[in-house]
Amino acid sequence: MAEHLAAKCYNNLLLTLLFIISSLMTLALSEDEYDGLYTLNVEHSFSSGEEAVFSKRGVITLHSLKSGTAEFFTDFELSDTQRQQLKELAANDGVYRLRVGRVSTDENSVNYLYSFVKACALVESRLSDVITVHVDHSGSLIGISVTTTAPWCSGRLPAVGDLQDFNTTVEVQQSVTGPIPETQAYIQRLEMEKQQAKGQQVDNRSFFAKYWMYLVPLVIFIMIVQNADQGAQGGGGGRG
Amino acid sequence: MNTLDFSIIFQFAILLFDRNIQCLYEDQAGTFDWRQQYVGRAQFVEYIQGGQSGTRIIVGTEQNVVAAINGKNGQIGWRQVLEKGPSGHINDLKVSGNYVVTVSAGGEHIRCFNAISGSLHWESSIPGALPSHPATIQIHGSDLVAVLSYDRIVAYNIEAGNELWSLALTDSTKVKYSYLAFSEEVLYAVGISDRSHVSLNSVRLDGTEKTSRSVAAVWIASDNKCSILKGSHLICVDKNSGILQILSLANGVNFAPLVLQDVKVDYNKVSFPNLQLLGDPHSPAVIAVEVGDQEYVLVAVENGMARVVKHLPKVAALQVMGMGEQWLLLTARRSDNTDVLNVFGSDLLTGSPVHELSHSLKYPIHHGNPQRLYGTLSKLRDGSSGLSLLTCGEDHSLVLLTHSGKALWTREEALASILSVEMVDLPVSQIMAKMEDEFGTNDNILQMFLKRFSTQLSQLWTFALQLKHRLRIPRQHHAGGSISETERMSEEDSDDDEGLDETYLTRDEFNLHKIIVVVTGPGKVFGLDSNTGVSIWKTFYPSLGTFHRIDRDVLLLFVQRTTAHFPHQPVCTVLGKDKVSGLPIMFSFHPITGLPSESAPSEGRRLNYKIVNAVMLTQMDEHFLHPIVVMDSEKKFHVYPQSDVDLVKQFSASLFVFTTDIETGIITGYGVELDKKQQLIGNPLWTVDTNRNLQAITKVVTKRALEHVHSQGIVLEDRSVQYKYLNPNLIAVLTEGEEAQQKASAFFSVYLIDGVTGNLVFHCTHKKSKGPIQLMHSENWIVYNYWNQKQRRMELAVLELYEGTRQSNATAFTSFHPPPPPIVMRQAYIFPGHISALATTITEKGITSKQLLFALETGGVLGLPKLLIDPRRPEVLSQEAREEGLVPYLPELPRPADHIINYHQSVFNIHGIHTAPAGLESTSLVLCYGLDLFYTRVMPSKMFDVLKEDFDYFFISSVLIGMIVVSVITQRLAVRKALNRAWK
Repeated sequence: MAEHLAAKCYNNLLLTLLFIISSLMTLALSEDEYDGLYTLNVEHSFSSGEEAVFSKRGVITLHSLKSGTAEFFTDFELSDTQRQQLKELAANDGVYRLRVGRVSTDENSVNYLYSFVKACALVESRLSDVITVHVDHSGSLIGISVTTTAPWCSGRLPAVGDLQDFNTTVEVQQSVTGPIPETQAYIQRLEMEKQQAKGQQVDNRSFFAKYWMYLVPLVIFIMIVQNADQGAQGGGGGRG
Repeated sequence: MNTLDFSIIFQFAILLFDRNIQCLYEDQAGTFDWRQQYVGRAQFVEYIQGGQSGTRIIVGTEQNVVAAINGKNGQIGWRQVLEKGPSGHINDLKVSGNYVVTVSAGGEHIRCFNAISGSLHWESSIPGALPSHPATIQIHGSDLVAVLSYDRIVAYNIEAGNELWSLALTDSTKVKYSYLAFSEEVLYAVGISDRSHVSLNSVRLDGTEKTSRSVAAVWIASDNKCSILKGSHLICVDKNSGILQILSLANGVNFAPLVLQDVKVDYNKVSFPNLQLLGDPHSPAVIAVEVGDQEYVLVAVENGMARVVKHLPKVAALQVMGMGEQWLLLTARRSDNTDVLNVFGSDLLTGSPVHELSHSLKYPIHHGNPQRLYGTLSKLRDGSSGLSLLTCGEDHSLVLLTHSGKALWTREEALASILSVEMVDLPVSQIMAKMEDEFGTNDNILQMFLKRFSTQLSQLWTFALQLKHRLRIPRQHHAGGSISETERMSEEDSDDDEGLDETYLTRDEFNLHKIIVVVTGPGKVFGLDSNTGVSIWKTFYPSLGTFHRIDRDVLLLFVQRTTAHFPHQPVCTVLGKDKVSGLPIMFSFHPITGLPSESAPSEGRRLNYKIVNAVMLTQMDEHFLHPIVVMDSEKKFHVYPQSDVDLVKQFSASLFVFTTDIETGIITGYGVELDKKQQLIGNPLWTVDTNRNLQAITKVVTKRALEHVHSQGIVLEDRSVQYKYLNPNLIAVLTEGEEAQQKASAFFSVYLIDGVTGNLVFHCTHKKSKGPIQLMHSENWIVYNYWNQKQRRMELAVLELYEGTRQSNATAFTSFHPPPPPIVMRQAYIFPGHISALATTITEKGITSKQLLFALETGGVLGLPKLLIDPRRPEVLSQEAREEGLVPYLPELPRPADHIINYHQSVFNIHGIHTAPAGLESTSLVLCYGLDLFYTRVMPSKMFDVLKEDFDYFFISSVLIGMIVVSVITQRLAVRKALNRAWK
């Protein structure tokens, strides 16, 4: 009977443990899921001004803020007219604008963040661009920046046919923690120095134990000198 | 390579110099620095007549200062600076005998000062006081002080400072108690309940409540302005109808209305009829009702009935004063746009004029209209009475005028609220200008020769004159520390007639002498002499109001043209908004003379749109003028002067502006384009959202436009170069917020944004830290201080940006093709003290190492070398680091007393430090401004380009001459010897 009870208790304990572990796992999973659900719509425009028309270009999915991984998904293809527009824009030193909006259930409250890049740079880099998504410490979006792989606008535009599809890379940058005074490291260093100094000072050996290497030669030297004196005196006596 | 080597050696030399102590000798104090102390705009003025220490004027000011001003010379007898901000805001000030009692922050601080010495006699606090609810004081007899706070009356003994009694008031959540008065042996506390009633509480002197009743008043608003007349009648103005309502405190059941007949309240000019209590408790019960701009109605109350005594149109300020048995009314107004103030005296009750009080006094136009008058009479030798009149001007000035017609002293208190500072070079002397003129023209040789000959002849002539002058008068030293500001003012007044020496206002050898143009809160602009601090000119723009941005008032000051472009005159422009209409207004003036610029209208250029951003272009037009580009709320751009539109259009492709919306927390960048009508219009390019619901933008700091950076990188010990990330378009944005989960946990973030492309270069967050934060942005580094909530200490952080060991573009930086994201080195330190302002030195070429200037709350201005605030400071000092001259990391920054640049000349409530380069590379000019002003020169790397004062010219030249003589003699001897040898 007692054994049975103990077994039951054990079982119960196991069950609770299992429950805790599973709940923890779901929590972790849900967090992961939350990260994965962070999706941003990317739209672009080839015209300027307030009433510019933006069309869809793709979707950015942020996987994890900590590791900074994100992916860019698109089924968008550049149409011939858009290609021509981009070419014209590049020739006129215009800007190619991009905006992202967080996908939310309430369509009206979408707050877009804008960025831009010189159209010529985009064309010259053959539509390769890097979108950096900046996220603050709480995980909300602050801004985006777009850079192209071509560092300069050289003025040599590639042919329209060369402009195929966008080659987009997405990077995520989260706010880092600001510096703090490194008191801990400093105190550790001080203590280490102190210990080093201590290690040198602590020497409890006796006087002879410490300085025998100086004393022994001294004694030997004195003995030799005395012997020599005696020998010299003897020699002197011999002569006289 | 040669220059690089040179710079390495140079940097090494600078590092070595930095180890030296930087301080002054005792006799150097005040030779090139000066301090001026101010009290601020007087809110409360009380006279203490006679006595051993003469007439003293006790003032309580908007800048939270209680001070005593000597009536004879206008100097500060004593000054007590109370807490900064709302917790030190003086609600009321009363004087009784030798004591000055003040109440601050709704009763949080009640203080009693000794009126003669200024020492704190006692201090108390009322629990449950609300800083938003102003408290009032009344003094009964010579010992009882009653203070009315949000929900109670507390009485103190004025001698001992002990609390006698405290009485809680009923219903204080609904009723706003704000009026307190003694009537013989009864104390009345009056409260207003919005749109409902007035509560009257009467209390006996021992603290027991006598009666408590309420009188219906549906018309009354909680922001209504009322007064208690002579402790017997409450008088209020009905906001809507302008009808005066009077109630007897002792037994009044209803308010008795008084319609101001024949008087129309001009609501366009005054938003609300103001009440001004006149006279003292012994004078007849009279009140002045301000019904329009400079228009008053005088109302007397007798036996509970009010009547209009007089209608006073065109009166700037008025006062009632006693002369023997008679009560007199004193009124003052400026006669149209002249320097004359007309003062009229008349009998208060009969209205008959009193001629001995009617004067025309000199009151310079730059004081604006007098706002308040405090007249006193003194018996003269011939038996007549002499009037001395203290006026508080529109420009915050305090002027003591005497019956002789001259000002005894003037205090320019506007200088306690400086908003913008620029240091402008003085023009070169005319001869020098002529010399330079020579190179610009294409005359023939003979003309050029004649010109050169005549200029050099006149140069010689002026030199002779100067020499003669110098021999005749030993050089006067303007010892800044020993001359107080009021003495300077009187000195300057006497100078007015003579006119300043023409050669005085010309550039000196090292361009150390400048004109400091300061723009102040009340709209007064000064040109200060940097050598002495004396104002060379001052102009008051009555219509110039301030913009309000984030947490402070702003007036923009641009130096559109410097003095370097002779014969074109220099131009400064101040941009503010009209006090009445709220629309932007611009004034242009000559920074050396203060006269309005010829090209701009003297009454100011009014802009009829809402302004969003204003920038000065770095490009110049053909007249060497930098145009100002203003962006309005409809994103249209306007250019001033308008003739420069084509220039702006030409550069529009490279013109980018950004705006920060504090309400939404969104920063938007714009490019400039031409619309269909060929007008400049903003094209939104980028946005950054700082998330307003979590944090608010508190600071946006750009780099200074005129900053030069000499070295592009730092040389490491292995002879490779770490290049600096020198992005001139970089802006630092500071946001502060509170953590959502924990209420007491604040945080702040720093964002570094490229102002052209909107790219976020770097962003970091400090948790459990809060402001007030000062941020400084220079070269490739950002320094800011903050309060660490967890450790409870002040900390200082530094961010330094480096491109790395390769520079992507050595010729010019462009934001469109930025280098790869910079390496951000960062470090933080514990700062021993509280910082109220932060700045860095700036020099002509940027070769001199930088010094960081910290204005401390304790009154010192600390100068620390940048070397100590360097994120490369290693934790363990390696051999390489030692070779580079890096200082090992210590968590706490030192605060050596010999680095306090203002030695014992403490300055308080400093809210800004302006630095400017001098002609000497080693020297930077510093002006610290706030309640006090302090100006000095700093040499961050010591004076490496000037010989020391104690340089031994005699020794060096005698050695030199000796050497020459010896070499000549030895040569002779050698020749002779050679000849002799040849003969042998």
